[in-house]
Amino acid sequence: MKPQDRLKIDLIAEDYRNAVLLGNLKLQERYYTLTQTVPGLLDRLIDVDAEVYSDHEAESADDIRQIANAATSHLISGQVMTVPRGPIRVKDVADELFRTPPGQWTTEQQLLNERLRKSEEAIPVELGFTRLMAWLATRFGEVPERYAERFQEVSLTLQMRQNSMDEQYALAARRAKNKSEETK
Amino acid sequence: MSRVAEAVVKLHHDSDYTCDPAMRGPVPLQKFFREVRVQHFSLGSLSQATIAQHLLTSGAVFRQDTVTDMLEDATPLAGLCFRLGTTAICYVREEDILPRRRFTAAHELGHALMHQLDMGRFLLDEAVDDDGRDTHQEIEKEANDFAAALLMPEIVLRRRAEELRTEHGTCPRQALSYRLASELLVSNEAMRYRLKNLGVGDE
Repeated sequence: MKPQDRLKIDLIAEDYRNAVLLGNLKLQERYYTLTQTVPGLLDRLIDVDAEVYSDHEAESADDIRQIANAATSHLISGQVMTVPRGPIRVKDVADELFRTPPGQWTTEQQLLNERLRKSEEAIPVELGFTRLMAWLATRFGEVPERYAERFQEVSLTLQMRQNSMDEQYALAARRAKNKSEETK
Repeated sequence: MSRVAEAVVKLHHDSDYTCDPAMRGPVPLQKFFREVRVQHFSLGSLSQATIAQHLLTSGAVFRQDTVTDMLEDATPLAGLCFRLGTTAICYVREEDILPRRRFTAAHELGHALMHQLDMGRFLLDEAVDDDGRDTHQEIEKEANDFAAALLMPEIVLRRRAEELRTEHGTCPRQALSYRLASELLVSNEAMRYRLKNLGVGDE
């Protein structure tokens, strides 16, 4: 490719980037039509698309982080709810417990929770309470029952939150008796 | 063995629980819930609307549109089992007395354990008594039978009947029912019905 061809592609790509950023669809379409007659232009426009998309993603993630930080630092009682991706990890539950600690949270429990916040290990989903306590004990030493209870509750809440993203709910309900039925 | 009996045996097994009639006191309902990973809550003014609010504020449900239709239904409820995929939560009405709340909780636990696939979304039109008399739907009957078998174990009922007979030479069902209802924390009506069903105690 001659230097002047490369320069031409660079100039078109720059104009194309501006068109994408301004949301000018007509201009974008016109540049894509040019790809049929300018060799090498199509690959360049695809690269521009990828760059713009990647910048946008990073900006969005950064915006979300900034909003979350602002909310949690200025609204002390506020919290940002997240949905864990993949298996629920020990860290996910401990982070949630850190944000919403139960009443009468002892120093011992706080210190234990800080250790658990560093664990990336997935929690086996099938464990009932007794086995969950034993599982935690093998990894983190003795776990107070009150802490383990709260840990299980939060772990189940997070699992349901995750399920709520793509599952439909089912329910079975029974009506309350009204006063006249109560006295029958 | 019936489906209900199988479910109770499995629950005992999963909870490492053995029913010992020599031990006195109510069955450990709280333990059962924890061992099978079902949460349970007692809420005031129970309705689908208050439950949906609870699900959203507790963070169990992430988006409001998941439970929008529930938010609009304020029909007073005695109990509800809510399921989302592999997870379930049981709700009971806070205003009910303890024996009734326990029966309702056990009933909802029965739904959570036995009716994962056929629960759908239903609100029973008629009030269901904890003596099971008004039940018209099979699924509700199973949940009632489950609650009765779980909270009032046959082996305990028969042992107490023997004890009463040994003590007094007779075992009137009414007296036995009062004794057992207070020991097992269930209503006297529910106990009478269970004893009658099992043919335990004298008429």
